[in-house]
Amino acid sequence: MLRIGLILSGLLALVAFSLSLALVRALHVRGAEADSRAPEYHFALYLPDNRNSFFTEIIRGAENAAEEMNAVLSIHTIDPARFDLEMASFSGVDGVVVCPYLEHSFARRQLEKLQARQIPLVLINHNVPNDRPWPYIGTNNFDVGRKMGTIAGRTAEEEVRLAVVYSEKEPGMFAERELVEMGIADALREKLRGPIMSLKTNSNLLDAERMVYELFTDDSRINTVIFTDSNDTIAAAQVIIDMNLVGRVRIIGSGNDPGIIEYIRKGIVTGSIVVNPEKIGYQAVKSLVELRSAGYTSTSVDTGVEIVDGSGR
Amino acid sequence: MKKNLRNSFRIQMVLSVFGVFILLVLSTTYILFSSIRMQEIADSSFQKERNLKSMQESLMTYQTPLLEYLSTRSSNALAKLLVDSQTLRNKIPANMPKSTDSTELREREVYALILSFLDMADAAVEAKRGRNIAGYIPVYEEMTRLLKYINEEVEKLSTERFRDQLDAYGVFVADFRNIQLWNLLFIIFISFFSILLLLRAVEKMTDPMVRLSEMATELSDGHFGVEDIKTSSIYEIDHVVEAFNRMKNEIGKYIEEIRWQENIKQEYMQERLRNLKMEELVRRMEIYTLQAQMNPHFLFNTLNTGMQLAIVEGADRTGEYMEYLSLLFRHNIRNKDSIVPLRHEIEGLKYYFYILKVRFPKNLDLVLDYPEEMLDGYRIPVSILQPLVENCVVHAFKNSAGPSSIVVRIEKRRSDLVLTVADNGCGISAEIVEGLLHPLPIDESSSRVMGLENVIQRLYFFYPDKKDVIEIESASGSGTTITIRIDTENEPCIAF
Repeated sequence: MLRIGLILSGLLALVAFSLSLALVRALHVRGAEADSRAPEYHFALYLPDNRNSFFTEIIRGAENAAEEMNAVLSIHTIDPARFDLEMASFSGVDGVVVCPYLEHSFARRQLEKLQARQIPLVLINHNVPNDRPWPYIGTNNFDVGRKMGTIAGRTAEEEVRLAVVYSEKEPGMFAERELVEMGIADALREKLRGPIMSLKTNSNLLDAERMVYELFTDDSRINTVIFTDSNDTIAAAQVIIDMNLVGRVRIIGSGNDPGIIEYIRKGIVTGSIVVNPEKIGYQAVKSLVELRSAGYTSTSVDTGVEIVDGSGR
Repeated sequence: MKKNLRNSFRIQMVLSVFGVFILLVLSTTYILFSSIRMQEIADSSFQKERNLKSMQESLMTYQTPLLEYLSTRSSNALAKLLVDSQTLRNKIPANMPKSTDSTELREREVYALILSFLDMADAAVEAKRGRNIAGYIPVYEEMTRLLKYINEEVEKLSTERFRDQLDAYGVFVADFRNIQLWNLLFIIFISFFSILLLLRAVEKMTDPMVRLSEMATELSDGHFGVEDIKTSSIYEIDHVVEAFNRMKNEIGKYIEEIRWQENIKQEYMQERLRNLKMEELVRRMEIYTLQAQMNPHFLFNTLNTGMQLAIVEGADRTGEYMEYLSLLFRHNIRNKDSIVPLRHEIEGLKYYFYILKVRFPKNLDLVLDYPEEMLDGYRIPVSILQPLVENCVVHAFKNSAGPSSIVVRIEKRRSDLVLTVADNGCGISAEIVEGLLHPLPIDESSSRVMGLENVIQRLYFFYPDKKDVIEIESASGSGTTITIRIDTENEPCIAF
């Protein structure tokens, strides 16, 4: 009996001791947890404060590339009021990706500051002209405009009276609206009747509803509307249905959200332009790694644009 | 057991107590260690925050001598500036790892900003020394913006870290509680273990003594067969135990020897008593035999005379009767052996049957059935069939008026020679049968046992191991069958 008690209490004491020790050790290891593979590079990604799906996908693509290429990524704002971009050259990073939706002179000044400190730099989504162009990753907005014009021209039997709705939610497109409209005009040629009407929605997700409603209440001659933001496309499609304009007004949207695909399937939206923001983010980090490791990278990488319409293409 | 220091009672006692003491001290040390470790872990989570805050404060105070030097070129301010700059640089971690954790990454950036700030300060001081006004004024402006940005970043970082630490604190507290719980259980179990260890050591030392006292009690009750006490590992106790075991075994051996001798003596006495009784019985039988032999000789001579007289007078039937009677007597007295051939017994029975037929010519039917070839092959105790037939004649047909029958049959069943005497008389009651088959011992029975009882007693005597040597089947009014079974493969026990 005594022997059994001795063995039992000994075993229980051992179990309690082992568990306590394991917990202390786990706590210690958790406190001093270190990455098994120390990242090689520390890059910074500077984006507008707006965190819509477009920028979220850019971040996701950049993070995927960073993880794949043994780098880490810190995300910052380009808002001039918060000095993030202004102080980027002092932050000890190994490279910077900037989406410069900024006033050009300010943007160039900050980018030159980075360049002066020999910090590798890649621009995404919007280019800033410079004597020595910085590497650029994104879509060619002239091409985007051509694709939009192609959809509009393919489905229009009569003359096209066109309005393009830009958005604060997609400032890159607005910044290069001339290129976009040139692309559209190039694609439509003689089918385009009258000047292209340029409109702009604010960051409110439902602002497009107001705009479309006002547009067709005031001027009913417009028969084709092109949207540059996916949220605006969805909001506008619903107004077109409500105003019983389906069939009379063609809508060409942006993005491949499930809602837009469903509208295309029903014939309410004629087609949509799809860019790949995740690819932009991924390619940006990849270019930075190339700059750090090889010292050079492509000056410009076009991540492409696709058309989604009822033909299944 | 060899005497060595480790086996000493005192050393064992000291080792046991000291071992338990060490165990408890080690356990308590571990509890203390784990508590300190947890405090360190808790403290380390705030260490980075304290360091950053301290640097922030130092940067704020750093501005004063910098501005003073840039304004006045005071050597005191420069000295203080250099000391502060070096102190701040020392506070910056030498290795700033690139972590996947966003907070740590932001912290790395803040340290890089501080380092840039200090580099800019050095550049401003250099420009001031070189009286390059256009050089240090824009640097100072940039430093001011940078310092503001650093402060904002430190505040943001503190907020972010505080948010992270709130989550981590919950996990830490849960782990801390678990560790405390297991520590409590550990100290409870280890205390139990220590107490039991001490008890075991004490038991190990005292158990042989307890066993000694128990064994002494057993010995005093005369039980010398108890097992030896096992030796412990303590020299002093083992010495006593071994002596006691030796003493117990010696005494047990003597007692066993005396008991054995006593048993032999008792058996001898019993055997001798039995022999005496047997001798007495034999003597008594011899006396009877001698007495019986005297009268038959006289009777035999008289019968011969009577037979001759019957022949002379021409009474042939009487002469024949006298002759058979004479043959029967001669047969009975001629053989003195206890065991005779079966033929001898059958011959005597034939003479007896002749006489009975003359006595009961009309209503007694006598049948003697035996295979001729068996007569010389087997031996049986003398005079066991005639008394049974006589018993039938005397008792079975007392009140019978009808035809009576006695059948004597001899046959072989496997290894048994079976002799059967059956009658169709009045039968014997079950009580009498029981009394006959379970007679009193020879020394308690009457000295004048005759007839059926005599046969039964002799059969039991000659065949003591065969319980069914004789059986009586009887029912009131339906006759009696007496069966004798003699094992032909075993010799009768005729020795006293």
